[in-house]
Amino acid sequence: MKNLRVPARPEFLESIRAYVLQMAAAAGASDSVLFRIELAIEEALTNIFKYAYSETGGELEVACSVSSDPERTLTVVIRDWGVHFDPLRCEPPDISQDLNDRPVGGLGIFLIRKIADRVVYCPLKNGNQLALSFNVP
Amino acid sequence: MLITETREGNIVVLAVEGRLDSNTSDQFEKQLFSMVEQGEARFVLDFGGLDYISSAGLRVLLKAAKELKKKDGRLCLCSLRDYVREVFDMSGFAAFLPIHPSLETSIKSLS
Repeated sequence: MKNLRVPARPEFLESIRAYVLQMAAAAGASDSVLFRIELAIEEALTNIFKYAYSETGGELEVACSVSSDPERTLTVVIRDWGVHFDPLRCEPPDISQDLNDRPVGGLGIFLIRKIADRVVYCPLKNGNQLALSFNVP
Repeated sequence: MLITETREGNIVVLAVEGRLDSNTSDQFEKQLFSMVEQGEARFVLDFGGLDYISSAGLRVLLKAAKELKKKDGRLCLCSLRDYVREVFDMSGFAAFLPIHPSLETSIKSLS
């Protein structure tokens, strides 16, 4: 399937979601795995809208591939042309904190790292590339 | 997302159906906080019809729980589907947001 290239704006979340979930379902992902993939992708995309393109708009490109090994890993590569933003360098929230101490926000990246089986960030000359891999049981 | 409001005495029950994500969380936040500002202090969020929640939805719940705590109010959730419940466990939110199996037990806990 062709890569998907769309404007990096919230109203395009739905088309990216549909594209990724279609690929994941074709790879044999169960409903609960589809739910987790959907969540990680939304969190990754909203971070791009917020940080990579906080000043300017732009586009992003999403490519899905499924490995042929017995583990059947779905890899979703998201590329943007915004400012450098490395989600892996963000301090994860302390999830043992109680209500009073818990800061509002900062959870998206934590959820991505919790859900994806592998996260690889690569700064590009003019943008960012984030690869999220999920084992599809 | 569809929010249906009902009342049980001084408890407000908001049944949320559909998706609570980065596109819908603003609407949810507005509706919930307008009621908090009007002085409502006890809420049950019935998530039996909730298909999906992301950190955008969690953010609103955390903000509301903090605000209600200041006002001596309370908020609890009920009827979560398994994979929605998993997000609350993963994020640690299940530790400070009371989650009940049914609407009846939620209302009992706030009465």
